Amino acid sequence: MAFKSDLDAMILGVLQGEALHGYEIAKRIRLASAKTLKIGEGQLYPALHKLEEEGRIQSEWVPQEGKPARKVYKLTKQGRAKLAEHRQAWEEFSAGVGAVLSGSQTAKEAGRG
Amino acid sequence: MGKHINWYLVELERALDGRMGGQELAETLNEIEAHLQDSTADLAAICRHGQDPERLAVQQFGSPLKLADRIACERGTPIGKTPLSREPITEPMIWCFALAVFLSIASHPVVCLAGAAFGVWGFCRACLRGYRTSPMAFAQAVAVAAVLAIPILALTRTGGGGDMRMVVNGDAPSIDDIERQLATVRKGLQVFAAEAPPKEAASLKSGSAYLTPMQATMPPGAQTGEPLPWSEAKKVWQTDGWPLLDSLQARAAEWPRPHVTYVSDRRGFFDGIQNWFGMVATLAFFYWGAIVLLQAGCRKMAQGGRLQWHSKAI
Repeated sequence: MAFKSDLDAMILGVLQGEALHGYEIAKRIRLASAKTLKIGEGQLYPALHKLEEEGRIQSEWVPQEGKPARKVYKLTKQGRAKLAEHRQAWEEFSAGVGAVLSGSQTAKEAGRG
Repeated sequence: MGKHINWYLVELERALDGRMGGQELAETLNEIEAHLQDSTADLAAICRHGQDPERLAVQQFGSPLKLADRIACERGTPIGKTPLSREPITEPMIWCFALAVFLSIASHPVVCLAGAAFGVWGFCRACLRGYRTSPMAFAQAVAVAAVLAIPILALTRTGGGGDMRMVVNGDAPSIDDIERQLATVRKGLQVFAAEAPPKEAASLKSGSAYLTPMQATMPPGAQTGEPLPWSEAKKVWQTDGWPLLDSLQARAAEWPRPHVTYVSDRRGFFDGIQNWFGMVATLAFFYWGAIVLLQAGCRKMAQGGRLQWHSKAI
């Protein structure tokens, strides 16, 4: 099974610990991936809005002192379930790719056959 | 808020206008404004000397038009709901159409040439530069003044929808020739003013031609557009003492043969409707052009940081 909707998965992944606003989500993805993943920041908001519409995340405006209120997103129950799906899909996908790249026995046998 | 963030939000607001509700739009813009400000603050700490952190933050965020399309797409807003003025092909198309309409109805050569020059200029500009703003604000101001002035000039020159033309017919040997000449003005149009020697003019067929001297000395009835028979016109001149009457009579006596110098015709009912429709269409398209140019000017101002996007209260 191919790993699709990677941005959605990453958003859900960083939101599993705590509620975050858009900029923080982008930042966490960058930092958590040791700067190997850098999403186009503009892509983030359409994805967030879509996930919110699908009911996987929910948002609320949090007032800040001396600053305008910020929209903070948090994971819903559906979102957690979807994240579990994404995680499983990724594990299968990465295990498959890992096996091919490492030249495992199964792959060798398949090659001989 | 700095000028780059301000520009970004103005562009994004324009691109999303009409594609989402006002409250949602305000929320989205506030969210993105906060993001860009945070990003600017973080970049300021790591920027090299001479780099503008706000500019970098906006660059990293990507094109406002692409973002607007993506947001609209995610929300299921049909592509067709993109504002017309954002389509690159629209402006050349509009210019061509405005030019065609204008040329088809403008009869005065100066107006026609001005319309043609303006239309060609607009078309070339639109083709070469897309719908980006001109770097010369002064040229934009002149262009806006021109698009405002040309239709007004066209309306005043044509007497509010009428059609005027010069017919020089100094070689006409007889009244019949004058009649024939008048008949060629335009089929179905009523001729209401012409210049001819008074003696000869009196014998012109009633209802087909109404005679006055040249436009400068037209009787009041003719000036307001009402047809005036020659006999009536003569009476008005005599009672009101038109200043050029004597000289005209003297000139008329010297005319060797019937001579039509000026014909002003008026269209029939349906021609009038068609004419007014053309005028309204021209006005609409030229003013549309003005709006496009003004919008371009506004965008330029926004880029210069003079147009402020204000955070909306949620």
